[in-house]
Amino acid sequence: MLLTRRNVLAAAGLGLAAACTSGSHPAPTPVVDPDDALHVAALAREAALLTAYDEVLTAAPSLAARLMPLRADHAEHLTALQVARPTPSPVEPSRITGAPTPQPRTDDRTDPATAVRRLISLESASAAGHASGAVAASRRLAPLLASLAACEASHAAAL
Amino acid sequence: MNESEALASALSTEHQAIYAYGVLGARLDDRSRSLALAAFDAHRTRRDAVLAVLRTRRLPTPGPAASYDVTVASPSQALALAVRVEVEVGVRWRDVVAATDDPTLRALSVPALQDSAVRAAQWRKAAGTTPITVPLPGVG
Repeated sequence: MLLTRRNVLAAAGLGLAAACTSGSHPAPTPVVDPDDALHVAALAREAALLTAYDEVLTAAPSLAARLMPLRADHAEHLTALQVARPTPSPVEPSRITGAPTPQPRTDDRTDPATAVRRLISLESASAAGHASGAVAASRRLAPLLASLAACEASHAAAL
Repeated sequence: MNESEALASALSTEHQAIYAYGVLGARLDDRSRSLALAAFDAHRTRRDAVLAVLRTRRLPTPGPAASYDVTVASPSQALALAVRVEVEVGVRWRDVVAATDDPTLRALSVPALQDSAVRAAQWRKAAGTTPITVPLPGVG
């Protein structure tokens, strides 16, 4: 489905370029896939969640047994997103997994109850973002985003 | 699987979930039973939503089977069945997500998948099984 749509868009773009530059070399026309922005947004949400879990785990190691399985789900989400669309993306995977670097903090992240509440809030917001993406995306990306939305809703409940 | 088949399959699994919760609720303690009652109501609501879609589109609306194989002899079996029911429901709703471009159907199927994942996690927690969550709900 996506390939068909992409081909149609590409063909339309080339036709337009050829029409506009008759006689000269057609300029390459960028083909924008609506899934691209949804995919990048989903990657950013997963990266932000991984960072948040790492911050909490650093500040409150006593939560490790409870949080590590949930963090593992997010690591798998990131991989699934990267596998789903290995096409060029403005966000490099190495930058996603590394950024932003957890900072030593003296704020309320050291309080386990507060830290967990913050994670619940982040999980809920991310679930809503993925769910919106799953409504808007093509059939190729939507099922994955729907599963991510479902997982993060279950995280918010499990926490 | 096309859109109509996916919707029919989702309806079928909602029928099964309603039946299963009617059976397994009797085996649970008070706290879990209230969760089962809430799930029973939620699945009835979802079933009615699918029926409305199918009727609007003048598609067949298959009813529930006369019975389902949901033997439950103990609280632990009841909890395990509840997990299986929600996992299966999640798979069927994810199939709907994959089979449609219609935003209305996406807006029906995505929350249905989310709710099934939440309930599956709640049941795993009640059953004491770990991990409580799975990374990709709806992936069979």
